[in-house]
Amino acid sequence: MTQTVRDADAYILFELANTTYAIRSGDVQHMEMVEHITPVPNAPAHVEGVVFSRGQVVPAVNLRLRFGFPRAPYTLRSRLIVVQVEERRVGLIVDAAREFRNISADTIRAPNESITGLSGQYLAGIANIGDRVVLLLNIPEVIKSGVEVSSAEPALAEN
Amino acid sequence: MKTKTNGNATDVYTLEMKDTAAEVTNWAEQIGDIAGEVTRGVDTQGRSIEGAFSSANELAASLKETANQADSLNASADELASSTNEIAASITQLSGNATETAAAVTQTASSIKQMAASTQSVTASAQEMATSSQEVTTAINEVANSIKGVARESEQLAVSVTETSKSVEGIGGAVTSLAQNSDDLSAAAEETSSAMNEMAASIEEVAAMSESLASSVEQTSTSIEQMSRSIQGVAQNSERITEAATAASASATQMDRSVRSVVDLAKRSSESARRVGRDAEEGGAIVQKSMVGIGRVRDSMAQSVGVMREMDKRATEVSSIVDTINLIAERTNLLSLNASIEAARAGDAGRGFAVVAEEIRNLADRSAKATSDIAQIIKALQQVAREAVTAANDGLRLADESNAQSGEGLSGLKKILGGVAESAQFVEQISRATEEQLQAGRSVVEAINTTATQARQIAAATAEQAKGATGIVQAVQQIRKTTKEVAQAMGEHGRAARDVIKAGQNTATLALQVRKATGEQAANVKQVNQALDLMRKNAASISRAVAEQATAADQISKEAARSERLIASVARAMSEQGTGAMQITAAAESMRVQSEQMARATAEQAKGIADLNTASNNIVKQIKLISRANREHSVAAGGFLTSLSEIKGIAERNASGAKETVNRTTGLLNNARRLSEMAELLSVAGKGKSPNRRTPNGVHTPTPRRRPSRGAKRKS
Amino acid sequence: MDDFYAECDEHLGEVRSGLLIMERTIGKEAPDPSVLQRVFRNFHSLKGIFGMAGLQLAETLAHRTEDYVRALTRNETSLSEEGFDALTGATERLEQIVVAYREKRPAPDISALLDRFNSLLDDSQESATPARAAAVGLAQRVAEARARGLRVWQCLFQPSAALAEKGVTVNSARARAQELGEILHSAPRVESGGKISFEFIVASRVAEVDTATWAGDGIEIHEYAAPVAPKRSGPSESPPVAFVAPSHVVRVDLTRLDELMRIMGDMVVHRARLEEVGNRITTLLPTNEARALQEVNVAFGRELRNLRDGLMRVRLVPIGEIFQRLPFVVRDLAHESGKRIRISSTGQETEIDKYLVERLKDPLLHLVRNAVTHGIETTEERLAAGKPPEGTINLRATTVGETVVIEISDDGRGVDREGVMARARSAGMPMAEQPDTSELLETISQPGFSTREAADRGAGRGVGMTAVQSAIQDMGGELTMRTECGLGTTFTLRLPLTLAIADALIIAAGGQRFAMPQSVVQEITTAAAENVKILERNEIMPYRNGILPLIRLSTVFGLTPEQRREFPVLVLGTGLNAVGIVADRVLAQREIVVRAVNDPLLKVPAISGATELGDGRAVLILDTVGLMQTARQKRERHLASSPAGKVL
Repeated sequence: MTQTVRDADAYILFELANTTYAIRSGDVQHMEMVEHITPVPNAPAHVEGVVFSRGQVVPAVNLRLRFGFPRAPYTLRSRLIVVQVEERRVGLIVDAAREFRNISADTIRAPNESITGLSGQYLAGIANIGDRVVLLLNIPEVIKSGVEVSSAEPALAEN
Repeated sequence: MKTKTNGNATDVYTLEMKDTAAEVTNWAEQIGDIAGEVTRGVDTQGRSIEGAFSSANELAASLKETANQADSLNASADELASSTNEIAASITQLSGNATETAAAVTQTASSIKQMAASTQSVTASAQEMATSSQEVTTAINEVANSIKGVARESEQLAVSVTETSKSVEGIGGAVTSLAQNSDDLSAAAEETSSAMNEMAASIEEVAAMSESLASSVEQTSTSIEQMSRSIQGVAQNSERITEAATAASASATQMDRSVRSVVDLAKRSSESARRVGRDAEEGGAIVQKSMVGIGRVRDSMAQSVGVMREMDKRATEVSSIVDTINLIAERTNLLSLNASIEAARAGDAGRGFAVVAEEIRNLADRSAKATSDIAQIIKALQQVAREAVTAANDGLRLADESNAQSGEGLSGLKKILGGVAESAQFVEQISRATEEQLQAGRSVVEAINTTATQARQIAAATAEQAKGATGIVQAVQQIRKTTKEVAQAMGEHGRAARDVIKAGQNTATLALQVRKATGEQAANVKQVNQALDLMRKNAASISRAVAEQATAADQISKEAARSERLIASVARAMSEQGTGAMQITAAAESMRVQSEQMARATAEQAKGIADLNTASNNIVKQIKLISRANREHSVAAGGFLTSLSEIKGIAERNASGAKETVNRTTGLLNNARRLSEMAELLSVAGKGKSPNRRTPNGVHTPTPRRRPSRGAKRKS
Repeated sequence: MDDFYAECDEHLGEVRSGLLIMERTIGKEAPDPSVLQRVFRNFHSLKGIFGMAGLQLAETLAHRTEDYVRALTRNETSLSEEGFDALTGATERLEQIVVAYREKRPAPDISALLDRFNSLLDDSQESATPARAAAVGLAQRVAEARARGLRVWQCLFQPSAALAEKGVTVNSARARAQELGEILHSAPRVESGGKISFEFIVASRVAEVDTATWAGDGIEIHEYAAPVAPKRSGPSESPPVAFVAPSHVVRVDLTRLDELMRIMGDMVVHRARLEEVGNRITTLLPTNEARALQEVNVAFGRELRNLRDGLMRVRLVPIGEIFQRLPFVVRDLAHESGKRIRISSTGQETEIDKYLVERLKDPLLHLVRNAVTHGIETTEERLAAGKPPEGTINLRATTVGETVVIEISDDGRGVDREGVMARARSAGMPMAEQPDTSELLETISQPGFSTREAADRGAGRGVGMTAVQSAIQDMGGELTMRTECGLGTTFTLRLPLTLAIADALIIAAGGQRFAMPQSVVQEITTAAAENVKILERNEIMPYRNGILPLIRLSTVFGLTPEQRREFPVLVLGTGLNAVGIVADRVLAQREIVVRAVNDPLLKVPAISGATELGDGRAVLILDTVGLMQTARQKRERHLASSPAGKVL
């Protein structure tokens, strides 16, 4: 299911495995640096653990693992993006997130039919900004639980 | 229940940004300060590097000197070493010679002992012989006497016979007288018979005596042969002694030559050692000088290292500040993003806020870039400084090594000096010892020569004695022959005597017969006359034989006397020789002892020389070490200079780097100030734009939020 | 903006509670004036709020409703069923408008209601008595002044000879009062004993006054409080009412309370650490200092506990807030379905955390709807079954220790077992042959069980039993059901009273820290590795006079334990139920603030929450029941996958 996109919305752009993704800033509660994450035993593989964020216990999802990329060590640039969807607050760990910009609807097109498999579900659209290709994420799909993610399927990465 | 964070978050972000901006300004100022310090430090360093340079140059020069000194020292030491080697060689030779001499002397001594032993046995034999010959002479004299007695008896017999004969003739006429004469004849015959018996007995005795005389002569002959052989042996020994003595003499002469050469060498060694000592002292002075020089260089180095460590520390401080600023830039970026997110949520109301947040983000990114540049520079500076520190540390290490080596060299030189002094002592000892040896050698040579002379004398004497002995032997053989003849004669004589006895008995019988006859008448006067003629002839032959015997006995006697005299003289000579031989033996003994002593002394010398050799070798080694160290020094000094040039270059780069840092820091400061201004704008914007939160009571309850502490974990 | 919604909620809540009370007196007697007043005040406030927020429709409606209620207070008209309906309708409509506004949907129409009020008011127009105008006027004026942010002071001056000598007279008093602000009202009063005093009501910007100074001037001054209208007196005599929310109530944004709770939690953590540090350094101090330190610590802890309790109490609101709404729902549904239903509630004053109030609304609503729709039979059925024609739904709330127990019971037909089983089978759900009530409840709570609910009127946000269960579980509560065929059903909700702060043992296992609630731990003992034996795939150790089965945390969680010769064992339960939980080390004993772990991504067995010990790092809290379940499951899986045979 794709989310509706308005004429020009503000997005947070982040990097993951050399690909640029975007999330609507309205979905983002706030962002933090990645500090200690407490692992939760028997949680799904891509759930790195939990963190305390503003007094609340928030699950931290390793987006790399979620999308089937190999792990990378956390750096000063790594970020935990806390998204809020309905009642749920979930943290997404990404390689870097430094941009905030508007993306106008006319630069966005729907994802190709050729993108099959799990990766297709996560995309809400693809935007061309200058010479960059930015993948717009469908957050509710990304943080969905109950469906085991196979990390064998690599995610879409456009160059 | 949705948490409402709009207005609150805005405030929070604003405050945080203000804080952040203030922090950045603070840090940037600190960097500026540090950059200034660094610049100053670099200048100081430049100066100290100059100082180090000049010290290093001095050092290089003094090291060169030292190297030269060491070389000359080396040469002298080599000389010394070779001298001592020669000494050692000579002494070894000497030792060999002495050993040979000792061996020869020992041989001589043993030969002489042998000879003495033989001589003694000859003397003993001779004395025995003398005693025997005396006995023989006595026996022969007895024989002669008894023969003479027999001769007299025989003559009496002959006379008696003649008278008898006459008497018999007169028978005719006077049978009565005959009867009387026959009684007289019988009595005379009885007497003659008893005299004949006596003569027979004494002839038996003489025969026995001749037997014993023969055996004693045999004995004497055997002894004399033994003696002769001994004398031959002595003669041979004497030959050997002479040869050995000659050899010893030759060795001794050689030894004398060797010793002299040792003395010369020792003198030369002594001079070399003194030269070495002087050189070592000079070398020591130079080393001291270079040590001082090295000390100065070391101090410069240490100072340089100190400055560079300070610089490195500063660079590390700046580096950590840069890290902090980086962190702050990241957090600022994060803050601005969060602010943008909130602004977006607030929609129109947050627009101004969003713009400011955007600008802040840009500023933060520029700051990040600037600090990243600074970080690069700092890293390069650090790298350079670390290299410089390494180089300086190497230099320090070299200087310390040099110092240590110089110290070692100095102590080495001192050891050399000590060694040289020892060597000098050894040389003195050697000299003294060789002098003594010289003396001992000379006395040995003399003793040897004496012995040789004596030995030759003995040889001559024994040669004569040999001749004498040969004469004795011949004489004795003559005696033997004569004795045999006498014995034969005695035998004959005995037979004759027995015949005579028989005749005598016959005579007696005849006489009896005559008597009977007389009684029976003088029918057989012819027979009696024949018997008497026979008796007369026998008595005459006996008389002749006995006279011959007497002559032979005389001869024997004379011969025996002569032998006796000869033997006595030989005995005397032997005895004399015996004494002489014992003297020689004693001399040889003492010579042997001396030779052994000399051998020991030589051995000790050899050891002394070995020690000296070792000491010299050590000295040589030390000197070689010092030479090498000096060469290394020179290389190191060269290295110093190179390092110092490097360091100088580094310092210059540092200076320019520091200047650059200052520039960038100024830029950063400007950014930070702009950030502060932005934050101010933001806070104003924030207060104006947030929606109305007034409660009906008009009570405005502000929410105090916890301020994040610097550098601490942020849990917003 | 949330302020706005909160205020609306509050006012509407008060209206509802007032209406509930008023309902009892419809057609019998005049409603209680104080209740009327309250309702009036709230509509008035709502009007103002709506006006400020720009919700014109709501403002208009509220205004009209307020007019009607005013008429009621003045006895200009009496309360009829129609009128009451209009009031409830208006209340509901106002709420709908607010919700629509919030969700950015178009507002529902109000014209019908307006018409109704108009018609109601036309009847009463004439009965307005002027006599009350003045009194009302003052009340209004006071209210208006207060609304403008002014303080209203009452100055009482009792003239006396002494004062008169000093020149302090009524006039000086008046002058003084005028200095203070605008005199809203001045009048003489007759006190007990026949004395005369003068009263000035002054509206002023001044927020605080020095009573002493005023007393020196002979004036007694204090905040003006509306005199309480005496019961049963005619509305015309009702004294001016202070048109203000009671001044001893302060409305606080819940997020601020959340924040305070968070800070409180941090303080608890910090205090615990302070105690730890104190214990460590106590040996370094002289005895009396050490004792002083400990005393301070203990006192600190006590005060903190008090503060914590107080703060928790601040967050508590009576559950009546929710209970209030339900009758309206029942009324509507009952009307729709033609059933006669009565709803009663007890324990409305039972307090629950404000946080839970929001989240309870929907579940309770759903359960009540269920009771109406599926539980209570039609009148005919009831009569046929020999039951009273009116069905009863009971809401009960009590506090039992740290738990709030809420019961929703009906006297309807009970849960249809066969029907449930048939439905389950047709939906392909596994079901036991003879399910007991808990299994029954589980079944009907399965997603997809009842498609009828989607068609139900209360569809809204997809509420079903599934959502009810999940919401209750998220709150850390529990739902049980009792049902008897033909007699009725009772649902029981048990909820923790507050965000818990509990004593816990912090333990280390497999390199991670966990918190074990101390309440379940009977004893901590130490075991030596060599004492652990294996019996039928279980690890056991000798304990007291028997054995203790062991569960290793590291095994259950798939972590690598520290290799130790001795390790701590936390004994849970007693006697035959005792179980030993094996950890690597016991680190500390601490008060912890329990935070919920709700996200579906974090639904793991054996973990019931998370806490933070002061270093910002989350520490997971163990759920002992889940732990034992997981351990058992692992053992069973192990048994299944390994070759058969006992390992002794």
